[in-house]
Amino acid sequence: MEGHELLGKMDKVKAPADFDEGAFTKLGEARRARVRRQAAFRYAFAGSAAVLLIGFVLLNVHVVNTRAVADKGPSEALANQTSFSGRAGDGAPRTYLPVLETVDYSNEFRNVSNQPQTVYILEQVSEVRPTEIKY
Amino acid sequence: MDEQELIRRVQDGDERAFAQIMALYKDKIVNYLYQFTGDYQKAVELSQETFVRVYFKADKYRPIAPLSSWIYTIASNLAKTEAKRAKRMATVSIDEVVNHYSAGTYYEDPADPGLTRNLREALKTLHPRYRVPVVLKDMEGFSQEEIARIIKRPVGTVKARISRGREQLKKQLEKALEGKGYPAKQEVNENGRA
Repeated sequence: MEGHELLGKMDKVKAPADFDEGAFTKLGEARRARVRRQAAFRYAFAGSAAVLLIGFVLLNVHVVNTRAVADKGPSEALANQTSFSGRAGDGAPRTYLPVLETVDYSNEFRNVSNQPQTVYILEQVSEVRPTEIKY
Repeated sequence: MDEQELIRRVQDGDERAFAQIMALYKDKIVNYLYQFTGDYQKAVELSQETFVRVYFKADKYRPIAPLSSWIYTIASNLAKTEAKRAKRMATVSIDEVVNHYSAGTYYEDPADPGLTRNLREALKTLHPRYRVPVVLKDMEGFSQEEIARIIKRPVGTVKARISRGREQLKKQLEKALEGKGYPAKQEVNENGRA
């Protein structure tokens, strides 16, 4: 007799008498765990959303302040300043330091000649690669 | 009340319908998981877990397949997960190894307790991939089409797995008969090699 034929003849077992009670107990535990998991998920979701919202608001406040100062222009911004370490005239914290610098372009044109410029056109005249000469 | 009506009620949270489904299938599922694991206590726990999942996943059931196939699918998945977990946790004592060497046990008489032990040990050495279809076919009496539905594989794959599983089972039993015993926790891997 083959092994697999013998398998069918092996003893069968039945569920114990208290099977249903055990299953319902597990069902209750699983239900409670599910409720706990859902609550934890809700809190985690709400927390993540709150963090994102706060981040968004802070970023926006920063962007709005920067834009407001930029719109006023450097001269107005400078005029509003009381000192380099103080606050701006309207009481808001200063968000940038204007730097006024003169630009000297004289060196940029020093080497420019009055003579017409020579243009060299480089052209490849042969496809043949130079080879070693054999004697 | 037919099974489809019962599961519809379970989907609505009816615990009495759930109890009825459990009454219909508990013995079959306990027996199936017992044949799979060889451990009655574990089989009962896994069966209860199976029914808990039936309750919570009832809304995922679609009446394209019989309810029994769906319940056996859940039980099989749990059994496979348990087998993997047990394999990770497995520790082998010297005594256990000695006990597995049941030299010279006859396996022609189904009433022989040695045979039962040999069969169970031989079954345990099968990879769950082969053990599930062999148990469903040879112990639970499912057709190959039903097994294909349960393990969600084509019928050709089921046939091949049953054939390979039986072949492995035969080899293991022959080893036991020759007195070589079982390679204690040496499970036949998914390619059919030890």
